[in-house]
Amino acid sequence: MDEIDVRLAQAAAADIDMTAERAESNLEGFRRLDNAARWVRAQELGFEDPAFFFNALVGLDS
Amino acid sequence: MSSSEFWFWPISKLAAAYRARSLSPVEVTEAMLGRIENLNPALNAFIELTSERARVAARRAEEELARHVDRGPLQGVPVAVKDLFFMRGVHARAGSRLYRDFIPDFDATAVERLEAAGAVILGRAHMHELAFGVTNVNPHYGNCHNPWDLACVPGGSSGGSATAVAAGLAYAALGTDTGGSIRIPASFCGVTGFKPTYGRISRHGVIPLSWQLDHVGTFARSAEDAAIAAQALAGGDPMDASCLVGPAPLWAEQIDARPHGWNLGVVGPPLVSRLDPEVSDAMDQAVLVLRQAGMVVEQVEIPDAIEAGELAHVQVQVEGAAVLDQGYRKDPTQFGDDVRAQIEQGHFVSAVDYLHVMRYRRVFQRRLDRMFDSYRALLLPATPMPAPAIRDSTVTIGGVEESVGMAATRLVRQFNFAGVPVLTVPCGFSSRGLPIGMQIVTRAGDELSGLQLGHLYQELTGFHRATPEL
Repeated sequence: MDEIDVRLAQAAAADIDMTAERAESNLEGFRRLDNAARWVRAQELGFEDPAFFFNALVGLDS
Repeated sequence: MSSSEFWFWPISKLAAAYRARSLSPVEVTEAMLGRIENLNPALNAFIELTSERARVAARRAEEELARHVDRGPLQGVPVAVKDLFFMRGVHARAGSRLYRDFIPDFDATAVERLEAAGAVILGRAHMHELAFGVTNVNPHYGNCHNPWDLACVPGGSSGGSATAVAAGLAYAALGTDTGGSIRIPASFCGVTGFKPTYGRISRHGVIPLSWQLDHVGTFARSAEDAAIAAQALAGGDPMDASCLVGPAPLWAEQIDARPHGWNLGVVGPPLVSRLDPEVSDAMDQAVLVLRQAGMVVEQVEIPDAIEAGELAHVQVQVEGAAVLDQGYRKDPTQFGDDVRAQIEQGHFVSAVDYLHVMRYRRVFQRRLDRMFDSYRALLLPATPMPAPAIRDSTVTIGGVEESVGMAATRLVRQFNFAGVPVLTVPCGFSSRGLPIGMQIVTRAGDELSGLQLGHLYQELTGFHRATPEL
């Protein structure tokens, strides 16, 4: 199974109707997202809360 | 510029002329609509005019000023609004086929506040399709053109807003910035772009791209005018849960304080590297000017800044894909190729990875915040190169070829991720006469320092007063 086949299988799992041609044209973008995901998975996130970011900013004016 | 070219005047000068009765809002509005009629066919800055609404607002401003009802400096001032802000009864297409027939039945909070301040909305500023790109090359409504060189892109996604201000078709304009969409066009078009802290200006009635990265902001010719416009919009809004609480800050009233002796960090490698040499020279000159003005400037490194930019890219792809998912599933061919590709890619990120990105966002935000314990502001170019040609999909900088989108966004995305305020000011021109822009980044909630520094810099340099030949 090559990379395009893997992407097509992923697309099918997400109910996305994707041709091999479109999967190929998206390969660079997919790889970029994969690289970013690999990087963030390797970070020390401990008990960091994914709560909505703006919670950290609300109250600046108060 | 001749004294009759009032379309390039600062807002404060126009406001004074109105109150001295040497110019009237109706006269200026008609002149601006005529100027748009002449220049817009070449620029495509406006996708739709709201002439009648503008004339009503101009007459109201004129009548009120005659009765000494003063709404402040925006009263009677012609402005442009990016095509994704709701205006009751007016198309909000967001540069897309998806929303081709969409006509909202209420005004965005930002529009409501702009008009409450007396501003005259001339029309809808063109944009990159769905704000999902940075060139303003638009397959549905034609390209917007850079007023400094019509063969070049104005940047995006708020390209029409920047073009309108640069060309003297509006005194200020509303824009949004999800991954540089105010700062990139401000840089390419030689105007001032102001992205306040995330949530400072309500997003209610703004077509979203990425809920947690979308920032509403302003374009104007100067930091002072950008502050005047943004101040009218800021402040809590119960219709937007992410909107910061409290009253609008008094930026315009405090912008004149002359900063001195501030510690400033000029951002170096690895984030700021591989610049067009003319951008690098312009930044060096800007640092020199600020040192001569009494600032202490040293080079700094933002930890994990490149990676943070990539994570911001992940976030916008995922949230953008979610925002546009139903439209995509209905008919993917209704999107331009570049936007369709991004929607498709966003579907391939796992929920766990997306949450990791959100978790890391807090880490990055805190790290960046700590830098502001030592530095009042951080300085870096807005884009590594001046505006590329419309026909070019890639640029080569420092011997490396990269897509225009990747290049244009690599110095800006981090600051959407952190939600911090950034002011972009013109800081020079390339040998081809294309503008170059500098970002002034400050701590979340501290827009004022950036505005004060930008204002001082503009008083010392005057790049913001340059006008394109049209």
